[in-house]
Amino acid sequence: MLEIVDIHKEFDGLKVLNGVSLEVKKGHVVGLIGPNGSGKTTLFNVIAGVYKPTGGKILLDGEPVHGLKPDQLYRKGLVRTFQIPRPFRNLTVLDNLLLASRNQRGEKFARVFNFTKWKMQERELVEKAEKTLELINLIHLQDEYAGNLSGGQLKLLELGRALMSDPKILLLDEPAGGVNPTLAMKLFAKIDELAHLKNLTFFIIEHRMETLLNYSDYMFVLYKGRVIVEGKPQEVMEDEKVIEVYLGEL
Amino acid sequence: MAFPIAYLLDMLVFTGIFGIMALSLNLEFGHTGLPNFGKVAFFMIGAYTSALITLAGYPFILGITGAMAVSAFFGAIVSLPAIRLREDYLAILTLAFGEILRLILKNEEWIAGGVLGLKGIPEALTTTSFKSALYGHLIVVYIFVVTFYIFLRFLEKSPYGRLLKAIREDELAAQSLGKNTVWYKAQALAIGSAIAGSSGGLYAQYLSYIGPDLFMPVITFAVWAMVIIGGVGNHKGVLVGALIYQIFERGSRIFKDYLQIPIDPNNMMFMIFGLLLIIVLMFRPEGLIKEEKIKLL
Repeated sequence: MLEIVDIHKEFDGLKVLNGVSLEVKKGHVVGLIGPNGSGKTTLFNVIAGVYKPTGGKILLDGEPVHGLKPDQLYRKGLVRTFQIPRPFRNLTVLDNLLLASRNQRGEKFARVFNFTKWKMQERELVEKAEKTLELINLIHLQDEYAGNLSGGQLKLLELGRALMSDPKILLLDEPAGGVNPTLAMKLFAKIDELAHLKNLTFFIIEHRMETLLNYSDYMFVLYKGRVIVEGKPQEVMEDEKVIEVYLGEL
Repeated sequence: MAFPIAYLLDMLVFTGIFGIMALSLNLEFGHTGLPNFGKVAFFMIGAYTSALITLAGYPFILGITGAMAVSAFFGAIVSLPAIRLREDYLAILTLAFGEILRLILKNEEWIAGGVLGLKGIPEALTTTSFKSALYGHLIVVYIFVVTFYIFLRFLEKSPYGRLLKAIREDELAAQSLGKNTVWYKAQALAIGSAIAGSSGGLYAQYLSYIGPDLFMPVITFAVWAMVIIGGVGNHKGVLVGALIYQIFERGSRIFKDYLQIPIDPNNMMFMIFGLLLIIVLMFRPEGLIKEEKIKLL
């Protein structure tokens, strides 16, 4: 589904990604772990079109997508969330979710005044958004400004927006960061369910390795801009290199 | 007609004309987050286009339509390089655009009379007396105010308006949700410029004369003050801002005749308004009428 081939990224001579290669298979929940500064978020930003790679290829369903802009990637079904949430603060929680929906008739200037056409679609989208809000436990806050949400709630909102967009593949950057552990487990259980029932693909950066251990099908460990270990979660956790990376200098 | 009523009507006409400008800036900045500091350029383009069309013998409505079309065209042209820039650079670029255009019109006589400007611009309605002319202007201007207000409320209460606000809030997040933000920002600038162009057209027909010195950058700053004081992101608020501006501008003009102060009284309006801006920004930064939570149609 998503193939990363020898991706490099430099910032003013500083090499952040040094030839990352990995593959995310369709319908899988794939985890990406690594210590701070290993390049995880930079890799996500390169995949999601925020940064152009200095070298290498990114293929989505076999089609090269490196260098495309975020909105173009979204249209191809690749949707991401941010490590530091980026909500539309002065819009309601419901509006934040609705904005993520695809092909909205009322978003075209020429159709704004033909509101009978977009209103019906809007009603359907509101229903869908409310279901998504129930799923992420934010339904009681649907009319609240997103700027008034707590850090954990903003993480949930990011996830909700991503789910609203009917993606093929979701890139989640620490989706459970700041979320209480019980809800975090529920979230990952939901992600697991969506992946296996709806054949959705998730590529997740997560610091809580124990949650990824239970819910991911495959894991990659990034260190100094390279994948140093990959495999089934249990194998990865027991790998000496990973233990060393997390407990001390390699 | 007794003097105070004529004065009041004149003030209301100006409030309407500048209220339209404030509405257009509110779409661009209040709703889309585009700091357009070249508002006067599109006002000027509208005024000159409408004046040239009506002076050529065509009806007022064609003049206004032309003013809107040409202003929208220039808005789109300016937007092409401008909307890829960071907000502060966009502000500088649009400010420079307004001044460059004004200086071209001032120095190139063949375009529209150069420094002397254009005289004898026909009014929108043919009237027989000063009194009926003022009422006529008031009606014409407020037809446009109401039309644009309704138009912008429609936009605001649609998914299109919601998307513009999302761009204002966080452009990268909007892009990540598949929105072609550059295209939408270009549209907002073109629509805002068209509206500003129409107010220019109304201004030209009301004054019957326009010249380059009527379009100094201070007009842009006045419109910004109207939006900031009235309430960024609230269309009602910016119209109230336009009215307050007119009251202060005219009030200070009258007031200065009765004052003996050791400073140039001609600049008093700017001082008073500067003070008002500081007070509003300190104690009510969202403006007098703050942005409301929008429920779509």
